[in-house]
Amino acid sequence: MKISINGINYEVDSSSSITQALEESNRSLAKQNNDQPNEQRKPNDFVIALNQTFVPRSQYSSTQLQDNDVIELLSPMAGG
Amino acid sequence: MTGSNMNQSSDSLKLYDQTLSSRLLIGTALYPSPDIMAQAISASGSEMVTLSLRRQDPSNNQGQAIWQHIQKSDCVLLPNTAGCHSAQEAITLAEMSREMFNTDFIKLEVIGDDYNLQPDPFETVKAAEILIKKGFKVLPYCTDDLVLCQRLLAVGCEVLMPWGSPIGTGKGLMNPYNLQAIRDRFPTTSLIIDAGIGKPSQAMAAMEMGFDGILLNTAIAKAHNPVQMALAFAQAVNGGRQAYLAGLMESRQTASPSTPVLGTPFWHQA
Repeated sequence: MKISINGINYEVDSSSSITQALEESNRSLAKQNNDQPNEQRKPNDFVIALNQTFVPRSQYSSTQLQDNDVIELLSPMAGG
Repeated sequence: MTGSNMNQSSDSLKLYDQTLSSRLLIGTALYPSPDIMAQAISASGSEMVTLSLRRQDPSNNQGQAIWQHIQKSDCVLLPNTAGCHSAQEAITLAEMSREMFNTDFIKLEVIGDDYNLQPDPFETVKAAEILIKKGFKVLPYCTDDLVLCQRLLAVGCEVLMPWGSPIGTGKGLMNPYNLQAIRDRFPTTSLIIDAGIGKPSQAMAAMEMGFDGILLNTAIAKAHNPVQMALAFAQAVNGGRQAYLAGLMESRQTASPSTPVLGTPFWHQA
């Protein structure tokens, strides 16, 4: 099935969890960056909204995704 | 409050259960570099800084560098909901911020107009009510509308942050009459002027009016020397606060000599 993370589409197995989708996106990211591990996302560096609803970290592995789900993955940034 | 018997050292800013000795809150955006941002925070003496959440860009590590500097600063974090246009967006971002930054504080921003970044009063009140029920300590960015401020207090906000003028304009206190009315009507509420402050003198004027603090970003970050400007704002905010506590004289229409008239030795006396 197709999901989106920060506007980029990924193909993941049906009924994948958020954790599995993040692993897939990390693999894809590593390929883009020639497998440099420091470019990968670490769980404490970001938070997630699924279809515009906040999902706590504790629920990543138990949250099953649906086709066309949209994940927003946000990290600390400067702000006024 | 005239504060005539208030000791300067005990004069602190109370934001919910947080007590701060500095009345200047600053943003972390728009600086020439993360290092200059850190130096400016230090020079300002600020103990609370704003920050945000955005999509992670693996090709740009500046967000990570800024975050590392902020963590080292030991400042209290005030995450914002900048960029949200509805109560639901702001609530989602606030919940994400609480998990990321481990704080109940949230600077609530719900924008109603993209041209002047004017907050949407209806969505701001709606979001504030829900967030407070969820245990957040909400600091709402609002206009200088008295009734809006009443509504925000009614849903449980303990701090209000009316704008001086639109974000990033540097136009200062656009409507002193409205701001003074808010100050006078809510004498025990912590009131922070947020947005539009461009010069230290404008920050000082707000503090002289009795506002409890100033939140600004662009005026420091975009100065030719942000670190020096941070110090200038710190001194202005403190000066304005001391003047307010000391009690300003009443202005009057007619001149009145300050040097005693009695005993003037010149011939034009009768």
